[in-house]
Amino acid sequence: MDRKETFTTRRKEIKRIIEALLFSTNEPLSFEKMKEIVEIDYPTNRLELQTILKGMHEEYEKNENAFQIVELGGGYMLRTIKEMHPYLAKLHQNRRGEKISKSGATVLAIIAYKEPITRSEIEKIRGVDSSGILHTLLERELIEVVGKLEAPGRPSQYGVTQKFLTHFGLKSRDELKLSLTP
Amino acid sequence: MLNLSHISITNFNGPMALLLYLIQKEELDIFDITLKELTLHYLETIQDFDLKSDFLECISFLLLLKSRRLLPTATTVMDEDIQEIRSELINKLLEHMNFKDVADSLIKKEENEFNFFARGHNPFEEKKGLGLEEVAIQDLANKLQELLERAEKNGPKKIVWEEAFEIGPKILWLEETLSKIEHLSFDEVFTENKSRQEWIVLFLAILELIKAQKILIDKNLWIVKRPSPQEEKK
Repeated sequence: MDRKETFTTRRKEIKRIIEALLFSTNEPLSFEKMKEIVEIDYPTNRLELQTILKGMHEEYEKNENAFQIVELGGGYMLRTIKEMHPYLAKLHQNRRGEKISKSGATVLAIIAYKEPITRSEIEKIRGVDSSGILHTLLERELIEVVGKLEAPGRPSQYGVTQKFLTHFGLKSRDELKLSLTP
Repeated sequence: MLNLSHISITNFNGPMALLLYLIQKEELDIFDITLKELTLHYLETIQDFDLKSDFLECISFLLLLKSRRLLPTATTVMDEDIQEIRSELINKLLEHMNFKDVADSLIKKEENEFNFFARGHNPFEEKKGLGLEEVAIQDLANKLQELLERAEKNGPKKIVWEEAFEIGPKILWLEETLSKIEHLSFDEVFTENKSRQEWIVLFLAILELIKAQKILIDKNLWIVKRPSPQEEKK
């Protein structure tokens, strides 16, 4: 009986810590980081943490909360549920981000699929100059320079960022490759 | 997008990408595709501009392939050459079309993401002025944008005669109103019984007054009279 009680308080405490961590950030919090912090006081393992996260997700759903825990961009984060969109859109009217252009999306698709990739390789696929688009994508932090190709001129190689994953609601690179397999 | 380019001709019925794929795998001979039907498709597409240019790209490419096939080839070596070029071109085209498909799905995903809001701040945030008291130029620009959109929606109900509005009288009106009450909201100034033109003139008048340091717009977008330097000293 006593043991069971400590077990539930322990679980509750871990849950509270996770909730506080997620509440405090607006970017995906990686599982590893979460585990590391929880383990300051509560030695745990991946399975237990995953069970707790799943439990929280179900609890939020059951309580019909306006927000939910989602797995996104290689981590977890809190965000509002879809049904709340009309009200939030009202509050954040002018704050809506620029939509990606069709050509921007094509370049992103190529980079996401073929990274690391240089500008000239992208242009070879598209058949048109892509420097302007690359510049915009870099500025929006959807892509970044991930290396230099060992070739004359040492051209930059590009790859997608975590922001890219969050922007498009993708869990990870793997999910991206699975769902976007051409 | 590919389903848009669904084509149905003799010997083939399906999306463009499949046709390209089959030709590449040589399971379907370009020779069996009727040039005339392809051309008709091409023409239909030209008439319907909603269909994407990619379709045109593919069709014209197929036309090129076919015309090459129809030409008598001098030697077998050349034939192989053409074979190689063909395979390479189709490969490139297929790859390109695939990425366009992926791009479409990314755009859909992005659209869906706009339904969610993350903690703390909107993920699609615009820069807001950092000043404490006065509004930033960006906020003012946003406000103008919003007003213009609203004006667009309201539209004129009926134009009896076009009244010409001037900034001078508007400035006087604003100053007079502000001497009576402490502050004005934008909604009070930009009422719906005024026309779009009048709104624009009013906005210009507000800008003039800000420039002349007679009014200021605070963080909550209230239009407030700026205390004159003498009053401020007191």
